[in-house]
Amino acid sequence: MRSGSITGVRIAGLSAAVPESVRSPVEDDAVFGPDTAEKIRRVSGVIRRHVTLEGLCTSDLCFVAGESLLDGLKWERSSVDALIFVTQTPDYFLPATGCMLQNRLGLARTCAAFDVNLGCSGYVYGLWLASALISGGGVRRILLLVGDTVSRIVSPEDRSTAMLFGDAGTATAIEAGDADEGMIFELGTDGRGRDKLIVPAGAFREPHNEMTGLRSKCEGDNLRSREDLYMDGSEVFAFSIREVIPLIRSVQSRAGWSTDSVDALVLHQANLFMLQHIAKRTGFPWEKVPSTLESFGNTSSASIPLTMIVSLGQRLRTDSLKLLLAGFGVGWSWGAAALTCDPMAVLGPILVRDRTESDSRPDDSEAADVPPFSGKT
Amino acid sequence: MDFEPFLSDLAQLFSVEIGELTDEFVLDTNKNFDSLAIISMMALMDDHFGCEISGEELRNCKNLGQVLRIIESSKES
Repeated sequence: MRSGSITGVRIAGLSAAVPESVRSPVEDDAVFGPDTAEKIRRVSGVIRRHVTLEGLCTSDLCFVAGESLLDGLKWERSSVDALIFVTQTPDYFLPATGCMLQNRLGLARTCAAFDVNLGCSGYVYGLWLASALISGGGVRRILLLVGDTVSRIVSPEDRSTAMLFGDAGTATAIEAGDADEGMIFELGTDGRGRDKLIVPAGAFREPHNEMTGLRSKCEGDNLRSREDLYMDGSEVFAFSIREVIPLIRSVQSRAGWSTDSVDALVLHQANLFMLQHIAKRTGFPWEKVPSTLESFGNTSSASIPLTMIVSLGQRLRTDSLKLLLAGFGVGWSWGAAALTCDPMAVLGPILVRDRTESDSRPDDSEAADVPPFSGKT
Repeated sequence: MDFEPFLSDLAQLFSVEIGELTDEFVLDTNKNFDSLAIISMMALMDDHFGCEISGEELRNCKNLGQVLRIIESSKES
């Protein structure tokens, strides 16, 4: 899908929140042995990552990011027309986590809220959805919350996944505005990728039973269950060569931007080897390809906005930047965008204390400004 | 087809002398052809020849000759 230029939409601000706890190289060495762990670090580029140890949910992280962003922008809660929550690690199968976030953030009951189940490509899809909704009329302000807690679906003893993923939640405030230049999107899907990045059991195709959670040895020493994330790394790499390199060239060409004029190519933070190969093949100097793998790992849908905040935050606050974004992976699903960002608010990453037992349900009294539901329309 | 620059990079990848990289050079997924070697080989095939290959196809190659034949036939199509 190739969009035309979507105009009249601007990003007003970005924020991110990550768990306070950091998984260190020493801990990984203890599980996998220092030689193996070091080899994985070298290829993936992930040295340490923020992970929840006590069951923080993506919605908790996105709540913190969203709350701080709304306060920072001084957006009236009632002015948010829609909330889009992009995640593959929701609180529940149902209700949609977006609904609970509407309540928790104190948004109006006239706010449209929904979830989008995408990972690596999720941020670009979220930006596209938000822009299309605003440009279509009737919607002025959208809060796009994007994140994942992948550490919670990975087996800690699976060498192919355990050391790669971090947790993060982000918020992007998008509104109707006078952006001089439009945003261009290019999106795609190839469902043949289904089996290459998947949590096979626990939903409805292969429901949970007493066997699905049992970890057993797979391809050598990797210990994994049907309810843990499976990833075929070489197929993911082959996919990125096949689809992502042409995707970036295409969207850059349609934007009419020379490589010199692009301020940054922000890629989904899959792994360092892949990012370096993509940069080389698309002709972007490494200085223009920011990476947060070293300190945050692969944060799935959050990785693009998190990288914008951590690596480009200062410039995003003061300058107008021409950015190419590309998110790609699980599905297979992919999306790229070319956009010019005017100076915006940038907050975080905020460190979030891990949960305690008393935090098991989000406190509804945080939504104090919302009148209690009386049961009458 | 000039495989020389590609073989030179492969020699570095496998830590062998370039003379050892004959068609019969064994690719063993349990030894020298682990997941890192596989994606490195994919990257080199893309860099040198613009040749795309799936992980499964590459894992099925038991020796270097099979890889070189795949590269040759990709250039013919």
